Amino acid sequence: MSKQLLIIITTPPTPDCEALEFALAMAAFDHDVNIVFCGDGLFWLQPGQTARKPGGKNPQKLIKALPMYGIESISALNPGPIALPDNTTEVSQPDIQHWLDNYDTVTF
Amino acid sequence: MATYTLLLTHSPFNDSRHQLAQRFVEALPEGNSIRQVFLYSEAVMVANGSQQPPQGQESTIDRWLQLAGQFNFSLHACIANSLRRGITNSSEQARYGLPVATIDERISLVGLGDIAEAYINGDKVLQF
Repeated sequence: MSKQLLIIITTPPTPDCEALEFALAMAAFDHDVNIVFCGDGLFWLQPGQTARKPGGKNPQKLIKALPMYGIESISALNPGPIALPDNTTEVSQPDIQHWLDNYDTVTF
Repeated sequence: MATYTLLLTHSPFNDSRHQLAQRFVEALPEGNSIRQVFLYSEAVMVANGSQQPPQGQESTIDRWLQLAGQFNFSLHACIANSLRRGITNSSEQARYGLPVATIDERISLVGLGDIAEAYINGDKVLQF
């Protein structure tokens, strides 16, 4: 049975983007994956990024591609002045409380 | 009664999360069980078979191996995360022509599918 998963990303992008690799793998197994970027994790959403190492994955392109892998719910908690990608929704704490209360959560 | 999968994502050298997870295993009430401990991201460093703690101290890997035997669960490390950190078993060593296999062979290299299946199987997945 597929699960509703909430993946909370609180740390900036790493050269290997392991947080999103985890999310993509869960989506590949038909789990309902919701991603919330918050705190330092908001740096994933900063426009104009490049890959963190030669030949590495560009965090920005990876986020743009998430819907292709079935991850439609992408949110930024209190993003401030960051210009969010088109597929990312600004949320506040009450907006995600239902997910925190009911979904299986993994934090990076 | 529940079956648990423990997901560890932090290095065994930077904080006490592995020790907390180990205490969780020890304190689990009778009738519950652990299916697997899954090492992801920096947590795969625990699978390095060449660790030598200072004299008189127990390594985190030794404690995990003891608990795995005592409570009958599997120790799994994410294969991609492990290989990029130099943690490799003999078959991956041969495949990539690496100089030496570094994993403690009692820990298995597996894909993220093992965690995805834990959710499918109804395990309670706890992250430390």
